[in-house]
Amino acid sequence: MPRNEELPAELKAFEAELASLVPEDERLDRARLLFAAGRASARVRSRVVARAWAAAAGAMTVVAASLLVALLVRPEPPVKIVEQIASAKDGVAGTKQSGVPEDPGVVEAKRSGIPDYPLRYPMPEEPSVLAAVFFGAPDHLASPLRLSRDYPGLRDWTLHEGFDRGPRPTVHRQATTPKPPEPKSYRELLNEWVKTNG
Amino acid sequence: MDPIGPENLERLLAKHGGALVLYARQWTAAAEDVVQDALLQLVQQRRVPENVVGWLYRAVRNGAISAARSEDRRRRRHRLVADRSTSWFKPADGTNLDAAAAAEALKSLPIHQRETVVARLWGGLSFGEIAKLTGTSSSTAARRYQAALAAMRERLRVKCPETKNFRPN
Repeated sequence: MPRNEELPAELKAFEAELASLVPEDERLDRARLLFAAGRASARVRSRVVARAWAAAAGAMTVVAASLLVALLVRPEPPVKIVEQIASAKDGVAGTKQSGVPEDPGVVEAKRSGIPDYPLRYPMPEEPSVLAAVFFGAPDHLASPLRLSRDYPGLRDWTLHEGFDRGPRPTVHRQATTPKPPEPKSYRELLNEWVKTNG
Repeated sequence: MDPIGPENLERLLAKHGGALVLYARQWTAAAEDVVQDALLQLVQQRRVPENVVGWLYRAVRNGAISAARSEDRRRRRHRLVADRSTSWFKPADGTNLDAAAAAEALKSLPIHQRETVVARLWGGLSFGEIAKLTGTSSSTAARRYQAALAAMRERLRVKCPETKNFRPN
């Protein structure tokens, strides 16, 4: 590549003369140009901020739509039925086998002739994680004490939380047989005989 | 690199504003508008180009060519009238050259020589940068530059002491 140094000497001198001329730029309004440049750069900045907000709003919309779709198409949760039947007879047998002292409530139930005590408690419904996040856990789950089925556990939980907040036991009572009529007195027998015979 | 700030823009304008206007004048009479648009484009760039001056010359060249193309006949006539009244150079002090005569000599050159001379002499671009700008090779740009200087010198009949083949008027 030919470089500037390779110019002939007479052209070098002419080049220096020519370079001493200063281009005219009076008609270039510097103040107006700088003002316009400031406005343009502010527009660029505001465009960047607007794009950031639009991107954030779009991302949140996508997340919300995904959650809605997941909520709509999710399968029905399987029904979990927990049932524990402990009759008085079984309890005695269990006591004999395991050697664990029998629950006083069961002993009382056996004595009073109430079968199937404490047979069924309604299981607290376990909330989904999403419901727990938005609405909080139910009161009996929020308790530091865990609701258990045995008597000491029930006692501690009731003392801590109060009786009214606890689950209501569902006790199935057998239909009681009607009592046999009591024997009548001699006076009543005499009155009946007089009424029928005389 | 961050977007260009007002201080840098002012410095660019002070250093290259006149040369850019002169460069744009090679195609259009609305040179100031073209230069202003190019500078605004530069401000709106998210990242400052590596070679800011080269980028500016390219933007001015593109803007000036498209401005020249879009001028209709009537506007062009008006612009030509306005162009005649606009001097290309400031009145020169301490030089033997007449500014108006130098401008006329520059105008007489073909466009590819004119833009090479302006970009090299007043813009300070290297021949490599001029080659990128004009889409030629560096050697072609250098040849054009040398030919343009010779033609201008011939037209102005500048007397140089080193010149052996000097022809008096």
